[in-house]
Amino acid sequence: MFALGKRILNKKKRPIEFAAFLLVSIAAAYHSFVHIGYYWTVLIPNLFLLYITTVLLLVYLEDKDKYDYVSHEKLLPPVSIIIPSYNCKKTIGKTIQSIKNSNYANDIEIVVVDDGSTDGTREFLKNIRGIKLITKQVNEGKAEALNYGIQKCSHEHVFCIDSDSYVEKNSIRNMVCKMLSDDKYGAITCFVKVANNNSLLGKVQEIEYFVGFGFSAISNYLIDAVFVTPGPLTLFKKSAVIKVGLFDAKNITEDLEMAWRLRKNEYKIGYVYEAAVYTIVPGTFKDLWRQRIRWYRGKLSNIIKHKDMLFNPKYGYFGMFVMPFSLASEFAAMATVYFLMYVIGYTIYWNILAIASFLELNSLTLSNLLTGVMGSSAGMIMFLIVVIPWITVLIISHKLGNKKMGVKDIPFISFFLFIYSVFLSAVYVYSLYEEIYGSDYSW
Amino acid sequence: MVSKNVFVKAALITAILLLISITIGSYIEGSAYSKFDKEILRMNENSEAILIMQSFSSSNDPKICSMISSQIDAINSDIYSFRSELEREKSTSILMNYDAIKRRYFIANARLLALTKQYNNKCNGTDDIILFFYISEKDCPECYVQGKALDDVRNACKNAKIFSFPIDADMQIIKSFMAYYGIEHAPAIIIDKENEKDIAYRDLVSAPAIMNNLNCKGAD
Repeated sequence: MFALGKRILNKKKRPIEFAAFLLVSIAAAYHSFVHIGYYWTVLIPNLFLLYITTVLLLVYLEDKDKYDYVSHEKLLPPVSIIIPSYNCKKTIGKTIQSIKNSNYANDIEIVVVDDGSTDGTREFLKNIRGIKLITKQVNEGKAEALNYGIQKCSHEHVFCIDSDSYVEKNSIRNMVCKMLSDDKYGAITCFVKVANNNSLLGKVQEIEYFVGFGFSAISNYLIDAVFVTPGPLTLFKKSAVIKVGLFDAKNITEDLEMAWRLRKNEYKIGYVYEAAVYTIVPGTFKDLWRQRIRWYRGKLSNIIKHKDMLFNPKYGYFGMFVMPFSLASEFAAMATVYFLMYVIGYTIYWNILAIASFLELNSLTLSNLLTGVMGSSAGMIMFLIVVIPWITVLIISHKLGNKKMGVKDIPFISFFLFIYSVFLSAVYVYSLYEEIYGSDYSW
Repeated sequence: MVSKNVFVKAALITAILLLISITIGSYIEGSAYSKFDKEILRMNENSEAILIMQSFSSSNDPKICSMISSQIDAINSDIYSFRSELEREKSTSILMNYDAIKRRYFIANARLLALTKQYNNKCNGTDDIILFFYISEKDCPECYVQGKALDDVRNACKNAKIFSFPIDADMQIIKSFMAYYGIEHAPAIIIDKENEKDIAYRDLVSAPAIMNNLNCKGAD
């Protein structure tokens, strides 16, 4: 999570389109709840997600032997590592030290691009030896800082790393070895892990990262459909990044957009789970909300920007499977959120207005949801559909992350499956609203 | 490169998982359904017992009247709680159709109404008979409000016997009651005064207003 300077990009407002979308989506959900049944309205999108998860599970289980483990090359090229920095005095020292501790058998050029820090980061960096410091007077954002660094660095193999992320000893070597294994690679991604996993939110995000950057990443890699070149650490070919036109400075998720643009330009993107980077994740729900709104809005805007890739066989499983799956998850999130709004609405209707009586007509209240649905067949079906595949996914993800799952993890896993997922659904829906309305980008 | 079979296999696994889930779900719902089924059967047996007891004596036999009174109280209480549980189960059920159980429930309710009236006649009973007509298939906030008031009446008056019927249920017995009591809209409340003129409320009415017309005998 790069320490971001406050950047705002004004967007054209679309209040009429937003109102129309809101009305149509609520009417469709209500119609579906009443005529198809609330349960099936939620279950059907979840069945689709189950199918997608099962595909990825099968891909992993059937093809994991085809994962080409890193073969250590004897002649490793010198590499550049670019660290964009902005007001990150507290973390960047550790980032640089972790790079210096790497067991890489050639030169590492560390290029720090200070993007107009105001908290003394620049002065702090001036006292660090062995780095090339580039200072910018005006804060222009992470993408511009990366572009500047890429053009100024000396080597063809360029790592981009966030200033609050720390590499493992072998990560740089393993990623370079992977890059050298195929000329078509434009970028190599790695296993992003959580550095601050000492709170509930940290532990839950750790589980999420294990799934996203472990299981999902390796499955996507096996079908040649790596989705993102993560900001915390990615290795790029400098020539490839320059050829595709550098990072898009007006894009709020420039790492996602870069991955898609590389793919459009027929570069492959690799993944090495034997290379890990630890990153600082948001510590409060407020910060997490802001981060995820940016991520999901970025994804939506990039789907629109690169809509020609959607369902396009030219882009293989990325265009035909991963992109549609990502889009479909929005609908599952909407079904979940609207369902909860419906239940909460009914609860208010019955309890706040105090009109609950022995009639109990259609009384889908929160208490009935918890005591009734959860203990009923409806709850059992949903539980099995959600829990069985997800437990399998979690076991694989933890195995990839070299972390044992124990009994003490059950509360965090339960929180992740049943509460955090609802939180993310709410973020999805809110992001969709903001994107359709045309709220200004702020990052 | 991944084989196309993966997509077919995933579809099969998804279908199998759904099937297993539905089988387990059916078992759970089937158990609940059979519990309601047995409960209705038990209530009907108890109603039959009242009918048999009533035919034992043509006159006001205090011993039999006392037995009948306590049995009516018990069934009325069972029917009341059965109703809440049935609606709750119905609202969370996705596989079972509870319409048949509901119809049998309303028949049981109607039978108990008839038995209570007979008891009042034969045994000079003082049970207050209240009929409540409501709408079940569409949202009816007024019905909920009226139902809440009747909850209060029931809690306050031990001898108030409330019989509720949805006017939109396609059942002959309910249609007959509606015709007999002149009900066209819901919510509506009838206080059946056996030997006097019935009291009818065709607009919302508060619990105290209803209780003013009852021989309220205090709470349970």
